[in-house]
Amino acid sequence: MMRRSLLVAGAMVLLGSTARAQGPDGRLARLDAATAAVVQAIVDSARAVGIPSEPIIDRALHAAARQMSASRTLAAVRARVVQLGAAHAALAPATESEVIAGADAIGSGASARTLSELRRARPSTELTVPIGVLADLIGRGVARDTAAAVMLQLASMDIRDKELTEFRRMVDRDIALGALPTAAVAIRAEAAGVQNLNATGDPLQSGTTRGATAPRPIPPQRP
Amino acid sequence: MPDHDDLMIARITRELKQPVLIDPSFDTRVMAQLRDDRAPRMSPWQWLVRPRSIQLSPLGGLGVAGALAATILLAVSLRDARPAVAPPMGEMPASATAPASAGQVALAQAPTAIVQTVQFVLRAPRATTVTLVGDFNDWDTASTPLQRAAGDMWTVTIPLTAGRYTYTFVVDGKRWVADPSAPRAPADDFGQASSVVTVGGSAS
Amino acid sequence: MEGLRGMEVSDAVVVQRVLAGDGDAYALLVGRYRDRYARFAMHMLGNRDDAEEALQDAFVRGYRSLARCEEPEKFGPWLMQILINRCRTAGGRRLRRDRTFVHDEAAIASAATGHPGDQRAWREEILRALEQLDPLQREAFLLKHVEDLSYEEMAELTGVGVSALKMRVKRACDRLRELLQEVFSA
Repeated sequence: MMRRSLLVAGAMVLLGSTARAQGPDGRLARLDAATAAVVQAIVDSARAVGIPSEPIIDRALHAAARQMSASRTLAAVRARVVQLGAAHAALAPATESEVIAGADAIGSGASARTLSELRRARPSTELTVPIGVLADLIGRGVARDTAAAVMLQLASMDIRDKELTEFRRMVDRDIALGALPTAAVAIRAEAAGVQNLNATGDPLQSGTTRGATAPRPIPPQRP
Repeated sequence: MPDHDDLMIARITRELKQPVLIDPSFDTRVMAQLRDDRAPRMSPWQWLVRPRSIQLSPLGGLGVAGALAATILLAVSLRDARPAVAPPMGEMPASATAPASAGQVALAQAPTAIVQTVQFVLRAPRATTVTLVGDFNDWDTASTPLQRAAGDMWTVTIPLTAGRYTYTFVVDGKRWVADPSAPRAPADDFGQASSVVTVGGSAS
Repeated sequence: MEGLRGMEVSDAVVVQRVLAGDGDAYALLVGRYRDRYARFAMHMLGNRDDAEEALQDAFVRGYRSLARCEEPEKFGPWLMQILINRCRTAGGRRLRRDRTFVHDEAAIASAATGHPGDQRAWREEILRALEQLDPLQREAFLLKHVEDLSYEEMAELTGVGVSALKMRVKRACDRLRELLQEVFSA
């Protein structure tokens, strides 16, 4: 252990990281020394620009637990940093939880712009759950634009995290029972009072009136 | 008989030297409290785990053939968001200062971090061992074993601070099984997908 | 400025780093002592809630009074001293709590050793017997036989003389033997 730590420290110096070096995170000792050094350098660079380091390390540890090769580990770590960076830029000022959820959302296909709009809708309230639900819905197969439109409306309504989580659970259940993901979201969203979705759940352009075939929106039912 | 007595003490101490499980978020809670140093505090202990007034929200057993799983969330009432990311500690005074002023460099009003109890359940009748790995335990495949409960169910309960965690189950030390009824983590290039649990605040 | 992580950095360096203004570095010390001291707190107080509370309190107090730690290389014993005091306060203040979590640990420990029924029962008996000891005897027994401290070190921590500590340990052993005789010979 001592030898490996010194080796990592040496590799750190060789890499010449311009970021303020924190020294090796002991947990990275699970990786081979060279990979650990690169990951540490990535972590240091990320920290220097305000990106939380813990999710980067978590990704590396996940790779180590799966016994991934060095190249796959680094590819995954770098991909994660890109996601975190985009989420951080879109959500700042943001908590670590929000950035992690944002990274997941971007990883599943949400746009950074959607995250920024969510931040504008809730400037001072924790967004971890709404962003997380956005990521979860897209991950389940809901069309990206529909999920974004629905979450934006739900976020700007006075809907609590518990209710958003329940919303996501009900959509999951509907999908498991055979509903198409986007339709499932549209139905549940209407029940929650979301407006301006046409019959197939696509967001309408602003100013367009609803189609005659679409059901009327039901006011939000809150327990 | 001295030998007999020494043997007993030896057995006792060997038993007592066994490691004791401590929840993975302990470090986070301590550091969060230290960042709160300057903020007016309520009782500091109300956010420790207390087993009472549990609400069950079963998701139902939705799963593919193989390992049927259900994730049940046990919720203790909670408030507030996690403190924001503290800026990297770049500009530190070179002279020694008391720890109290070092705490001021971090947030001015970090809210109290709340801990929520989460129970993970996996139905795996043919398994010999099941462990939980994820962000909350540094993906350590040995640190969080599940206990076999009634019949085919394996469970473990861990305290988590608010946040979003990727996790998965490891069955018999080699088979990585995502939680079929939990949301999936985005594809992570590792082959099998992982699951996500979001622990949130109830106020917002 | 070089950072701090990894096993090769001594407590003294970390303490000095924290006093120089890097509060985050304290997390290193928390990680180092958490598990070992959690074990002590758990056996002193008998349940997880109180043990975690006492341990957390000790770490927090350690941080706040870190400037008064006169020998930074002895942070560990200094923190233990704080923890001992926290446990004494907690033991006096709290009522007995439900032992549910202790059962869980016993189950896990027994699963690890592969002798389910016997090991769990044995562990339960030990913990029950431990709880029946006079707190100061329990404390001395744990410090000597579980934490493996010398009597001199224990004297420094508790402020009690070596001969008095030896007497407490002896009495604790006698009482434990008495309480566990039946279980042991069964």
